[in-house]
Amino acid sequence: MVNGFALLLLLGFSVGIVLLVRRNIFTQQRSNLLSLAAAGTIIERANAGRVLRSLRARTVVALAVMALGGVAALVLHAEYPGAAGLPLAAAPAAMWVLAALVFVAWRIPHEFSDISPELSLHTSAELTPRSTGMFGPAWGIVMPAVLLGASAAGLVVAGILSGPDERGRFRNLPYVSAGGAELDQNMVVTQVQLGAGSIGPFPGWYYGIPVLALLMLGSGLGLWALSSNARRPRMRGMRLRAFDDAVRTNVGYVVSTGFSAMLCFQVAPLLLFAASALHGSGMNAPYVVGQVFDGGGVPGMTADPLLTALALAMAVVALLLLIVGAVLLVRLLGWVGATVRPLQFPATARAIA
Amino acid sequence: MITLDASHPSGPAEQIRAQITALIQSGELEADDRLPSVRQLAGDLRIAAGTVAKAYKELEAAGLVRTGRANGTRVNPGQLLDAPALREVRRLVAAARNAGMSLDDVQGIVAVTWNA
Repeated sequence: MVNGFALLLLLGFSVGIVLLVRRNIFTQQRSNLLSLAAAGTIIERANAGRVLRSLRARTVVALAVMALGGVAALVLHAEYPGAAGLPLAAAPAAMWVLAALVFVAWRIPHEFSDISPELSLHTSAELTPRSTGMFGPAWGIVMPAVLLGASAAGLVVAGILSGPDERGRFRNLPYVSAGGAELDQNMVVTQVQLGAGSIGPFPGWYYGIPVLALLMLGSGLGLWALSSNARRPRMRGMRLRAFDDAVRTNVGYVVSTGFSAMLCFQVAPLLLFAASALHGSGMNAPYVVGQVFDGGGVPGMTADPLLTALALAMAVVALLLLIVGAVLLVRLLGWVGATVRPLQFPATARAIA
Repeated sequence: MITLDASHPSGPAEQIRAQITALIQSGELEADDRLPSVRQLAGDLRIAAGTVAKAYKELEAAGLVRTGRANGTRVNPGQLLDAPALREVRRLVAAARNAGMSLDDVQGIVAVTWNA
């Protein structure tokens, strides 16, 4: 009953993810930051160029720091094999924390020393409140929140189900299986023996607590980055309003897409661990009381069909999340690419200004 | 949209108060519309947050807006100016624009007529 419910939940989750990707993630449209920046005067365009350079440098540094975090996780994994893969298991969340720290600490400039005399005398402000969810994708808050909620719930359930390994670390799945039989002198099975065992790696508390802590920290930092993106004062000058909005949208997409991708990459391997352990825990030897055992061979192990179906569903969701994560990463690189074009304004625009 | 003029004789808080009052009374800002946070407006206008807070406090004292802890600052209902007078003002502005007059010109004429 519980396994069937979990199966349905996984199915619903997969359908939701596929619909979201199909409807929203493939249909993003990026504004041309360069042409929007060209709307300003010469001074405004120079300032817009500074903003673009800062935006580009910040995102590239965040990605580089993220990659360094990944390399550090690999090195730690190789240096400390006794950690049972913990550095790798928590790597995506830790990589996101590092990237989010860059987004939080590195502020995009909004005020410049050289402004036109007109703008130094007059400052304008719109009366529309800016909020965290205004810039970036519509799913920018919802998708990470759902993934985070599902990950947290999954890790807590896995933690509760987990048991200790030989060193007392909660990274195994304990199980009871019918793996033996008592025979009488006529070689007839009189009793099926139940045996207790545990199988790992399983995303129990040993992996779950650090991953959960990093995910919470990463989501807090991500929200902080989105909030400071909305709160950042506008650039001076009405002509750069659309450019200013486009810069905020770019930041919103980069932060939301980056966090969602890292969440996918974080959850997928843990799901695969869990699926493998679950499948292993459902293996039984099919002895039946009354069965005559001729000693010609031990009956082969058979898998519990429901546990196998559940494990298979988890593996499919994990693969789906890996694909979604890869798609998001490609989209993220597209948003970064939007800031990487050379900052040369069209000659006509320069002449008009 | 509000604009601050550094060379204007009245201070920034008064300019903010006057412009938001005009926006509310002309119906540009409707009842229950939310105003930006003090921090947002102060950042965009490059002034101290206390200056915006002072303007908001004056608007609240005049009954034009209300401030709730979770709701931010919102426009109170029933603050629209008498409709015929508003129509006349709009007609005056349209006529002045057609005649090529500047805002300063119109404001000067209105001030003289007001004091006559």
